[in-house]
Amino acid sequence: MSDVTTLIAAVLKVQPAQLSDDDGMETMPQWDSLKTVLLASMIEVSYGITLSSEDIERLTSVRAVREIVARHGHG
Amino acid sequence: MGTAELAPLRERLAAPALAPADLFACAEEIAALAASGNPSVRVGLAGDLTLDFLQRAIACALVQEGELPVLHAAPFGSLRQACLDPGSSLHAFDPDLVVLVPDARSLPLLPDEAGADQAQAWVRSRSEEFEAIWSALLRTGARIVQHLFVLPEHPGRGVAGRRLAGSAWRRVTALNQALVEAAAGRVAWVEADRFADAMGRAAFAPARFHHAGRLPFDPRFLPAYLPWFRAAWRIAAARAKKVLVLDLDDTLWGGVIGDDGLAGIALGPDHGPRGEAFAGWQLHLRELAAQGVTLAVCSKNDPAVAASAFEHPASVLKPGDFAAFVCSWNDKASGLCQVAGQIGVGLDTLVFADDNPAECALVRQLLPEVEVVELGADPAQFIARLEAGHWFDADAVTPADLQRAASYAARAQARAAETAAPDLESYLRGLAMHGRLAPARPEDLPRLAQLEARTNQFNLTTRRTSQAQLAAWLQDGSCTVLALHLRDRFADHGLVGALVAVREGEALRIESWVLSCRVFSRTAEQFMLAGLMRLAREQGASELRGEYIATPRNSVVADLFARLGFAAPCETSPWWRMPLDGAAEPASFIAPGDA
Repeated sequence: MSDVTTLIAAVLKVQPAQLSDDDGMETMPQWDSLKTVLLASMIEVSYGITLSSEDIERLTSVRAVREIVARHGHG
Repeated sequence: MGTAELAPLRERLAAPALAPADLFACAEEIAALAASGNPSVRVGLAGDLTLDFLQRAIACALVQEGELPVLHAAPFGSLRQACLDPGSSLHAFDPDLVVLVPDARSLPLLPDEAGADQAQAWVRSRSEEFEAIWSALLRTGARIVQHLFVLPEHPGRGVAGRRLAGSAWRRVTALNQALVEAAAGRVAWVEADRFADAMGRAAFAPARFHHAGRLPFDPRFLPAYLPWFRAAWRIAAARAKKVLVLDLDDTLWGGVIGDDGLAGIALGPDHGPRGEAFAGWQLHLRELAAQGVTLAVCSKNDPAVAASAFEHPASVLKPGDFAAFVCSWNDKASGLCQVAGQIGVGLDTLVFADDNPAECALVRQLLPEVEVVELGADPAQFIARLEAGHWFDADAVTPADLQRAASYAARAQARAAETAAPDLESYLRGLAMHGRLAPARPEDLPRLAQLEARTNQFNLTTRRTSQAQLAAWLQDGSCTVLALHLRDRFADHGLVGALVAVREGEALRIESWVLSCRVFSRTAEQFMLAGLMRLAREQGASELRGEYIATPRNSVVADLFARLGFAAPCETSPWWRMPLDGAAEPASFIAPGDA
C-alpha cells in the first residue's frame, strides 16, 4: 500500500522528500490535468477504491489528495 | 537495429507486474534514445481522444518488438484533418506507420427511430470515410494500424437493443465488421473491442476517465494493452511468428514419458482434471495448426520414447502433426536452432512454450530472437498463457495456411523418399510434380501478400510488396503478377511462388520473385522462367531483365540469374539480361497441369 506522497512523486517524477502538503498544480508546472487523471487511476488501483468525477477534479494538491484518500477510508 | 541498446529497456518491460508509471519512465528513455540516436520507425498517431498515454504505451510495445520509435501525435480530435490534409503536421512528420484510434462516442448519431436501411447507409458512409483516409495514408507509403471500435457498454434495453437495427450497439458491431472486410489486408487491426472485454467491459472505460481527461480507457490497463498492439504491429510489419515449438514432458502431458511410461502420464478424462486440462490444451494446439500455425517439438528425450507417448488413446496430436521433432539431450537453445534449420525459417519466427522456468530462462538468454512462453505448472492455465501474447494473430487464413500442416508432412515424406532415391533426377521425377503458372486472381492476393511478406531466402529483391500494391498491379496493364501453384504425389502445396514483371519498353523486367522454401531445389524456378519467357514472347518483348538485391538471408538466390543463363550486369547495363530471340525455355521436372 503506497503512501500518498510516494504515489504522487511517481506520477510527477520527483523524489517523495521534495513534496510538501502545500505542493500542487499551482506550485508545480508538471502537475497538469492529465497527470491528475493518471493519479486518479493509480490511487484507485493502490487503495482499491473508486473515485467520483468530483474527487478527480479535486486532486490538485498533495493535501487534497490525502484528504480524498482518507475520506475513502485509507491513508 | 541496435538491439544492444534496447536490451535493458526490454528487460524492464518484461517484468511481471508492470505499472503505467513504469511504462512512462521507459517511454521517456525511449524518447531520449531516439532523439540522440537513429530511430528505426517513425510512428504518427491520430484519434478522437487523448492519445498521450497510449503513445507512451505504443513506444514501449515497439521497443519490445526490437524497434527504436520516434512518435508524433496529431492535435486532439483531428483524426480526419490530420490524415486527409497533405499539409498537416502528421504528413509533415513523414510517418512509416500511422496508428488510428477512433472512438465510437465520436461517431455521428442516428435518430432513435432509424430503421435497417438507414443503419446500413450509416455503416456504408462511415466505411467510405475510412477508405478515403486509408487511401490518403497508403499513398504516402505509410502502413496503418487501427483500433476497432469498442462497443457501447449498454446496448439499450438488453436483447431488444441487439435486435434493433438502428441501435448504436448494432451499428457499431456492423461497422467493425464492414471495416475489417473493406480494409482487406491494407490495415492491421488492434481488436480494441476484444481488449475491452478481456479487461472487463464495465471496468475498461469508466465515464469518469472520459469526462476528466477524454482518455480512451482507464490507464491501469495500459500494460495489458502492449501485447495487443504488438500483434497488430507484427502484422503491419510482416514479422509474423510462424512456428510454435513445444516441450513434451509436463507440457503436452502430465509427467515424464521416459520415467512414467504410457500408462503413467496424465492425459485425458481418465486422469482427472489435470489429464483433462492437458487434453484440452492439445485440442487447442491442433486447432491452431489447422489454421496454419506450424507446430514443432523440442524436447530432452529419446526420440523413440517421446514418439511413443503419442500412442496414448487420449492424445489428440500425433508425431505427423509436427514439422520438426527434435529430441536429444542437448540444451534447448541448440534444439531450437535445429528446429529452425529443419523447417527452414529464422529464429525470430519461433515461439517456444515450456513449463520449466530454467529452460525458459536459458532460451531467453541465449536466443533473444525467440519468444518464450513460460507455461508454468498448471495445465489449466496453458491456453491463457499462450494466447496472452497474441503471437499467431493474423489478418487472414489463406488456403496455404489450411494446407500447411499437410504440406509439411508431405515434405517429410518427400525427404524420406529423397534419401531412398538413388539420385536427384529419379527423386524429382518420382515426385510427379504438376504446376500451374498463371496470372494471379484477386482471391490469390492474401496468399501472395503473405509470400511477399514472409519469404526471406528465395526472394530476389525483398520488396515486401503490400497486398494493396499487388491489387493495384493486378489492374495495371503494364504489370504481370504470376502465381505458381504446385502439387506432387504427396500433397497439394497450393500457391508457393510469385513473380511480378513490369513491361519497360522492349524489355520485361522482373520486379519481384519469391518461392516458398517448401519447394526449393525442385526446378520450380526453371518452370517459372519458362512460363515467363512464353508470356514475354506473346507480349512481343525482346528481352527479360532483372536484378538481385542482396540481404543477409537471400544468398541462396545470389547466383539464380547466372544459373538460369542470364547475361551478367556490365558497363552497358546494370541488369541481368536474357534476350529472348533464340533463347531456349529451360527444362524442369514439373509438368504443366492442374494444381
